[in-house]
Amino acid sequence: MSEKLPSFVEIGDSVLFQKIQDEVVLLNMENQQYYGLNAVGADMWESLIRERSLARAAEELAGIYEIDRETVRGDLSALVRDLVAKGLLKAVVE
Amino acid sequence: MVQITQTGIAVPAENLPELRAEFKETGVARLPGFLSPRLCALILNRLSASGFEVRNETRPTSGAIFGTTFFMPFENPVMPALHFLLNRQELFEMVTKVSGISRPGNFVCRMHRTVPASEQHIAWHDDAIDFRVLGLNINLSAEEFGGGVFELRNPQRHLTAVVKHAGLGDAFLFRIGSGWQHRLTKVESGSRTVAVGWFRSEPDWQTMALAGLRTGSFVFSEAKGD
Repeated sequence: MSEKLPSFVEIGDSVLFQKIQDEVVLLNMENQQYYGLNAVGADMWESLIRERSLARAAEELAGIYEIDRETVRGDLSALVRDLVAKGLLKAVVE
Repeated sequence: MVQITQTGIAVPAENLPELRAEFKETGVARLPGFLSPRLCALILNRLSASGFEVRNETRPTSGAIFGTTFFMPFENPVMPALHFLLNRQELFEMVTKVSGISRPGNFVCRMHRTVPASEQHIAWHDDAIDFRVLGLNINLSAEEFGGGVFELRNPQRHLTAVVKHAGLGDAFLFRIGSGWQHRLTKVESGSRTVAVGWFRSEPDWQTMALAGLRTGSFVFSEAKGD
């Protein structure tokens, strides 16, 4: 069974990131693993870090990509689950 | 205040003229609070469990020893984290504006600790090897220390800057090459831990990073001596 999807997130406690060209590279200091996000994933990551709210990030990304919010929400949810599972994002309460 | 945080780097434009003027006059530009408290805590957490080993600083041409300190082995997990933090385009832009150097390609550093032992010192030297164009020194000392002052002198051998680290996460840029030299005075009490490194003209960090990410070999080679 998958974990409950958080409504609000922030960067994981031991995570560093930077944008390199149009990609985002993340380093989890806990396990010394590097991760890469392609250009679309990078936009999602930046929106999540900025907005903290999945709903607000989905709205922002729907505007950028000119697609419906539900489609964005689905893609964003899948990414958030993956990033939370890897410790790159953590759920927060607002 | 120029500051690196977990989510980026702040470079307030209003700070740049003062930093530029200080660097031009003294060869040093002080960056108080350069690493955010959160980042310092992240690094110090890992430092506390890390081992340092004694190593000599040697001149690459003659092999002569000009200093001895405790070094952190390059394989320690703190090292890739520091390189990841400090190799970023926004930082390269900032140091270019402050120092007037050409835009660097990458940053490479080491970490060393100096304690009040008679053999521990770093004498005058210039760091001018291995494509280095500018130095950066970051205080990561968890405790206060006495002595351990960084001194910089110009090609005419006149002292231009004396820097005593005050706060955790404070940093300073320093001029290297063209006859400029620096040294570290003896630590008289406590323990001085710093990350010290160099902006280099090549190779290009972005190219290395993306290539490394794709091949799973995301590593830097160890900084050379002097």
